[in-house]
Amino acid sequence: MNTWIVGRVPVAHLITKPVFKEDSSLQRRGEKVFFLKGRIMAGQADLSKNTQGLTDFKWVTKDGLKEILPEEYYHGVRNMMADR
Amino acid sequence: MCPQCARSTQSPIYRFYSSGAAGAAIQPLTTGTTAPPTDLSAPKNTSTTQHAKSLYRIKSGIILTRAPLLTRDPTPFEAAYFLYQKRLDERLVAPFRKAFYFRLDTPAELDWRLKSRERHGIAARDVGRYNPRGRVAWNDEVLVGSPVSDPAVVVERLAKDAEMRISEDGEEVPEEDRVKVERPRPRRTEADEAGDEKRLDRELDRTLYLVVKRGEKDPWEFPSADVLTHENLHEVSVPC
Repeated sequence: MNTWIVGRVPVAHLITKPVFKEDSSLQRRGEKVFFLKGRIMAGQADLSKNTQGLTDFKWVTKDGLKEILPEEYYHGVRNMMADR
Repeated sequence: MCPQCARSTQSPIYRFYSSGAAGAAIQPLTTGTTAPPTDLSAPKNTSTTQHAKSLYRIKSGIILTRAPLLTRDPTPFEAAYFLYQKRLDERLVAPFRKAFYFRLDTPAELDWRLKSRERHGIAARDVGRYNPRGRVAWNDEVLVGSPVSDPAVVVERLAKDAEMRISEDGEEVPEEDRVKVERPRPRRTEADEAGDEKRLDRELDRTLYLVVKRGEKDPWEFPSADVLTHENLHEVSVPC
């Protein structure tokens, strides 16, 4: 896959709060995800060699993202997308 | 502590004046030997300050996009506006001089005459029935609901008009024997029709975004991976 990263500055970020147990010890760490913008120039996504256990991919439009992404996830990234 | 910070604080040789004489005195004494440390590059991880474990994990993701390949369809208003501009142009340009372009009684001239008659004498092929030089020249706007300005109709009309209808020996070619002009490829592709969301040649006038999924029940998300302490965001190898 031939890609090009548009810049080194994140275009969107997403923060998941950590989860604490009742005795205020950490149950699950939070996540801060910073998204960079990339463009695909040629080729196709290939998940056959990935180490994260990803099983499926697809290419969707902004409208499609609104339907399939969790609401707060979409809310975090929608402003980096063009109208079309 | 990250390796970079460790390196900058642990180096015993390079010291600022401001770091004081105490450090200078202690350094050779504690080691008990005058030989300088042999391995300067490897940071000695003897730091005693341990930070509390961070509550957050930093990840870097990528929003991979495929830019639109086509411009979008014009809205009905835009299409009507373009037709209006074409008609305005038709009204303002000098009249088309047939004799300048076609020699009399050649197949090309016969062909032009035939088509011009069908267009009611209008030179432009895609403005519909509009007479730019007459009593009704003012009436140049398309009516609501008229298909004249529809891009598909315009393309079809131009393609049909481009067919040669007079043979070499000056006789009219019947409809079925005419050489068809190739139509433009459709804006919707096979992938659109099949609804195959893995292919990139779909939704040609929209931006596409790559989303990935772990298991059946996990939600869709953009590909992302953990950022190591010595990496920058763009150096993370994101699987996709």
